Amino acid sequence: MPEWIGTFKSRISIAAFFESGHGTVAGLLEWSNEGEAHLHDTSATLELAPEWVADLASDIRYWAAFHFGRDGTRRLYCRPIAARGETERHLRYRERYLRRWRIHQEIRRWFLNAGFLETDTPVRVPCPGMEPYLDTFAAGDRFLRTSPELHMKRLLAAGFDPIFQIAPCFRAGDKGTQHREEFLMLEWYRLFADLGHLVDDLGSLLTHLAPLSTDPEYFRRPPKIVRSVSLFREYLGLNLTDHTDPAPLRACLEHKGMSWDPEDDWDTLYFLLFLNFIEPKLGLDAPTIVTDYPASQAALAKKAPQRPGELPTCYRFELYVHGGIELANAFYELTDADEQRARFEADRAHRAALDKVVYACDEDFLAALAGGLPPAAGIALGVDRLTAALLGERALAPILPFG
Amino acid sequence: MIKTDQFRKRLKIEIDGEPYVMVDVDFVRPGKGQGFVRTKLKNLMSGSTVERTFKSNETAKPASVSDNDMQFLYDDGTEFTFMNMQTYDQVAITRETLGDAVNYLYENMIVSVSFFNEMPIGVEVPNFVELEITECEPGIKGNSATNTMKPAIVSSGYRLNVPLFVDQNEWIRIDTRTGDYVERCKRPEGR
Repeated sequence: MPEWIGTFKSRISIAAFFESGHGTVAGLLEWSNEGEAHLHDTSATLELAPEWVADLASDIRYWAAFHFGRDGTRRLYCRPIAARGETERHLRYRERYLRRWRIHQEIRRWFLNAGFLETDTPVRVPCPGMEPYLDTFAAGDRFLRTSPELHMKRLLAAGFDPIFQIAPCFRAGDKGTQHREEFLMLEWYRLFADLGHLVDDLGSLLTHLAPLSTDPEYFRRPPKIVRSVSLFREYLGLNLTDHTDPAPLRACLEHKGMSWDPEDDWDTLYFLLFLNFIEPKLGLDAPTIVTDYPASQAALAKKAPQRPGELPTCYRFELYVHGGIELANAFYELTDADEQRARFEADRAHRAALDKVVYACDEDFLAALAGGLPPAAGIALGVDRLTAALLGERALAPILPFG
Repeated sequence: MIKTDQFRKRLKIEIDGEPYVMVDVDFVRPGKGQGFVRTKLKNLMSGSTVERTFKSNETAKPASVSDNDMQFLYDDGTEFTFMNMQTYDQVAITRETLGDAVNYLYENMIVSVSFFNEMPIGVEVPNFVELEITECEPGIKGNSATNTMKPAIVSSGYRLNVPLFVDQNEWIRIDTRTGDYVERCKRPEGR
């Protein structure tokens, strides 16, 4: 706890923060023991300017904050600064973290204004996601969720609509500049909606958050929409017509001077090409939505009717920003309980083949689908990545207060 | 074999018979699919950098790269002979493999030689090396300015610029990372 210091011998310089409606205000104060603290410099009333703070940092010796009592009294609390340089570092991080939490607030505000209901669902679940390549942590006799989607769809089936949730989620082993084993996921779902509704939601949400960004212009641009097959044609000259034959993908990798393994399946080869030659180009000048994913990557999305001679696709899109940073994944939801069960069983077999923990099928979720889920669309968005992107960071580390 | 979750910067691995050091490592997972590890690798022999994407279930072969302290004996202009201080084994290293290190060699100098599968692939010299000036215009006494330079040649044959006051047969210290003159110095003991 900071302590009340009221007995300075002489005038002393103090750095102070004020939370105003417009953001953080930092000031250099002169304090004397005779009376009130006085603003020493008119710049003290300006918005936080890092260069200005850096200039003064060596003069600032105390942190201070005003406390306004209920009876109208005002007190100054302060503590000495531990080390040189702390001021500047502290202010820089403080500003980022404040932005982070304001972004969370504004996300909520957008959803509440749009008539969404904020929900919560269990963090420890008996049946976590079944995706073959996602792993989680055991917690007692349950597992930490990798996503709240199955529970949220049960709420949806029960008639709660539209709904959203900002949910801590967990993925074991996902560690990188863009990955954390614990992260914040924003998911929202709408009944009687399709992917077009979600594209509109995304555009509107990003516009709403743009003022908090270091590059508001970018986030105000309407998202570009592009089909995955067009990307392969444009960047690799590859015309994908099928999601089983690896030969064209192998040839393309070789042409690009990359190697492949005979046991690599079609999707692995697809991702090798996508990661290296397409993803870095996505979202360079405007947020970009990639649609029409191959049917083999449908996950929980409904498959699209196949057009002859074209790649079988599903109703799924992903949002990319800033040259290959993946922010969101959306489905026009699979609502057929039988097909869902078949996909779960296929995933279970895949997990077993990979020597991974095989989770039980979520029978409550399947029962909810069987009971009748109207057409619905849902999307999951990484809040930490969005925050980093809004603040112009490529890595997550700078916007995570606890690493 | 090394699993991808043990990939770190500075890890040395072998690909297609050549040693690489990891310069950059990052985990990625497109969609909800298989994880990949994107790496930037520097070839320890050619010095060139390549990008390579590993599947997260792939493994990499550790490169058997070892560093040995060795003494420089002599050269015939193209090959430079060094002796292992422990085993007294001698090895000839080409000018090409030596790279910039060739500029700073003197007899009996101790350097660190990297071996990959018992083949020398690189030589590291200390950050600062003292060498004698063998050729330059006479020094101008009293001119202590360090910003006006003149060309000079040191005992290794390396050409560099030195301040005007430096004289022939004087010793100077050179920063081997930049190749630049640092200061005048005394003749090191035993040289």
